[in-house]
Amino acid sequence: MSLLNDSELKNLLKKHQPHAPDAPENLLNTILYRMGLEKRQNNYRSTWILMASGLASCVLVFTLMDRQFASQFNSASNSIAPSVAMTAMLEEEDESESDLNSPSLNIGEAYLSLVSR
Amino acid sequence: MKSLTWPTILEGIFFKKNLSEAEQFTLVFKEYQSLVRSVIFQISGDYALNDLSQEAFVRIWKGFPKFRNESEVTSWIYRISVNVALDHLRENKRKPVDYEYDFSTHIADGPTLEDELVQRQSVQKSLSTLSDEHRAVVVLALIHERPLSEVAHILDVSEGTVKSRLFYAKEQLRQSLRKETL
Repeated sequence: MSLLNDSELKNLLKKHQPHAPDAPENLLNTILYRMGLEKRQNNYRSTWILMASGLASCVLVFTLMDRQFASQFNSASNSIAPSVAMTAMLEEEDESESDLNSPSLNIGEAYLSLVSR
Repeated sequence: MKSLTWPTILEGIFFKKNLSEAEQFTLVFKEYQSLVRSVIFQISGDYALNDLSQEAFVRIWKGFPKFRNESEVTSWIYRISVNVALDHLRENKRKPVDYEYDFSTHIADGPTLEDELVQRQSVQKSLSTLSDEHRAVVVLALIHERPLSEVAHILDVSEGTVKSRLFYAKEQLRQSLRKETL
């Protein structure tokens, strides 16, 4: 093969020049992030999103807690009166029984019987 | 690629008041990414192309405010791209340039396909055997067809040096291609 002249060499180089592979899709964003351009925007955006979602979460949690507490309170207040009354009655009964069966009374009776003898 | 002067860029991109910095940069990136990646790839080879493209665009963006209208923007962007590629090659001397021969594109189908592939491999291999400085001259002057005066400005050398390097590089390519096809 004879040596190529200038024109042939140039045409050959242009025809078979190395072609750079396509840039990855995230290259632009990577550079923007690296230079702090996208970062700043993202920060502002994410701060607002974070604040809004936090606020919404708080409202939701408080609403749920309020409803739960209200329903528990209502059910408790409905059931508390009879149970308190019943407890009081049982305690009174216990007290009257315990007065009769108390050991101090038994000792007193034994003493009196000894003295009378 | 069309040649834009600095004021055109300013009017076209930076004077659009509603654009954020990120949007301005995106326009610059889309306008020049093909040129930047192509020059970097052809001078430095395949590896680290994305990292080097990143570096070039960071330098371009940071350099815009300091850019003086002494040359065309395209020429200035060529200069940054070439410098990024050559700096990288200097820092990684041990690794040879490797284009990972691209056989998939820009070749017409037909009976000569195999010959075309062999020729492509020969051309790219010959290009990769040149020294970094000679390859840069070939890429700019022959592949991108920049005038020698502009190549001299891009490489920051005299026009005589460019001519000398180009002459030597052409001779080496001819010999290498002859050897490859024998």
